Amino acid sequence: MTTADPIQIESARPRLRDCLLGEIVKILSAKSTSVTIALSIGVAVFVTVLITVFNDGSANPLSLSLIGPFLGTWLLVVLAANVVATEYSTGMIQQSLAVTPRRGRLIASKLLFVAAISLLSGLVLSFLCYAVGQLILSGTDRPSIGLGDVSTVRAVTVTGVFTLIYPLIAASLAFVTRHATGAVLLTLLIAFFPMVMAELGSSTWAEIAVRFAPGGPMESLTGQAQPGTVGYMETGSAVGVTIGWLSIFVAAAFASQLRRDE
Amino acid sequence: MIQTHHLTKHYGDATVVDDLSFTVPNGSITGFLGPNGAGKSTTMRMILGLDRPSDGVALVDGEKFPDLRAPSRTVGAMLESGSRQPHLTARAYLAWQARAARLSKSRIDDVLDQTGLGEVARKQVRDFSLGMRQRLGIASALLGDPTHLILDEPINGLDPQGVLWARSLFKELANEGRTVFISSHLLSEMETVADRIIVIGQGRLIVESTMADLHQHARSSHTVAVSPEPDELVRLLERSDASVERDNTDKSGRTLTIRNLSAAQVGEIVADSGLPLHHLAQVQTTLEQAFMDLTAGALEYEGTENDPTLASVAATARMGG
Repeated sequence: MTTADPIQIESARPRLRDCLLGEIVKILSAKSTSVTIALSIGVAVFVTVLITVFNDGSANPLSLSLIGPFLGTWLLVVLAANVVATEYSTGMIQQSLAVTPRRGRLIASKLLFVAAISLLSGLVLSFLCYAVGQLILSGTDRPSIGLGDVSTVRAVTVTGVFTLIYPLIAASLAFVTRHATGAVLLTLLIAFFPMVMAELGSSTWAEIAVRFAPGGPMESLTGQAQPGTVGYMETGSAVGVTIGWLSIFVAAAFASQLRRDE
Repeated sequence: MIQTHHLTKHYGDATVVDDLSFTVPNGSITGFLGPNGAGKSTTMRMILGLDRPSDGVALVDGEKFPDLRAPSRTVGAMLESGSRQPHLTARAYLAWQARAARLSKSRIDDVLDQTGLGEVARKQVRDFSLGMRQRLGIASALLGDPTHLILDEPINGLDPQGVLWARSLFKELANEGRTVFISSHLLSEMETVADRIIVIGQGRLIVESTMADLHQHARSSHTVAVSPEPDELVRLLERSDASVERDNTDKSGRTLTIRNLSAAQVGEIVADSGLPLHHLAQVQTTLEQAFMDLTAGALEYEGTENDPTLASVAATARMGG
């Protein structure tokens, strides 16, 4: 055998879909993936139970249920960073690129996986925490909110969808830094920077930081930020800012791989 | 066929691969030799697109590796044994590659059986011995049933049975018309398996030859002479256009190495002068010694193609004495 049949090669030419499926097999084959997702859900539900049980009834019933998912997201951030950084720490990036030499395809596959798994996990987190929280509230004769309310459905759904933001940022930063801890710390900084600015900066800078930070639009999209408040943004602008930030980080991930050696 | 044309790689001020041009033909096993740090792995990584050349190009069947339509079916690569995720099982490690490369799942079992890993397929890679990791690397390279194989030190860590198995596997693959390109720093191993050899040193081509030609040129020799009057002997021999070096291992400075005169010729020159001689012998250069000589001062050499005759290898001279 000296050359393979060209027709056979063309029909078997790998595509983005094949690379993505390969990444799914690779990542899900590691036990740590399912353990981390399970922990994420466990932490979110546990925090929701704690907050709800020990709440004195003064907090908004919906808000109580949306804190757990935010904390559970951070385990997904760790997962996302490791999905990328482990390639470099183990040296497996060499084999990954030997199989998929088109770097853009490999990067896209990993980021698509992170987005998909974060979105799915986020929606599970969000609706599960909501259900648990409201069950505890109603079971203890405290005010609760049902899913019959459109704004409630919107808040819970958007919270779940927004779970993909920080993991996607972490995965993108992991391509840049090639280091899981570095990517997670940078993501933490990006997430909590607006809160720090709100305390330390001038009112103008605080307003800008709170409103335009990557996680800022979520409050407007969930309906928790009301018109006239510092964090409020029109829906279109909120979506635009979110997509803008994600585009910046994803572009950085692609750009970081263009000329670098592996 | 694998070809490199003026392949060069700089890391800052250091030139790791320097204007390297060679061809690895189909249907043969080509050994890629050089001392540690010679640039072998970097060259292979540039062929696979992992490192970007500072200059030049590496081609597989006329195309750059990333541009191949079905990379895994064209090139099977085995890189350093540490490059795989330790928590994956052997089967999972091959499964994701098969999926990403759009290969049939049956190939996983085929290569596991071919490399003797069928019974440990569900074991995690971190629990593998070095030899098993090497076999897994070879399995990975064979997964796409490729026409070209690029293997970086595949024999390392294999037990004697494993080495025999690997040798016969490589020969079988080459007999099927595939291109087999193996790097090693072990000349003894390449002697037994390779048809052709490419030797680099400090990133530059030293030799590109068939193994048969290299053997032929290594059957050379040099003359060793020991005299209590070494300075006089040197002057005498240099008057006869001899290339003379003092042996640094002899602290007395009495031992000389003469590269272009046989023992018989040296004996005749010395006899005419009356200089005392305590030792005179013709020393055969082994292939290994020739290799060590080739790579000892790599910067002194200019790369050649298909002509392994070089100044550093003892000139083929008539055997004296």
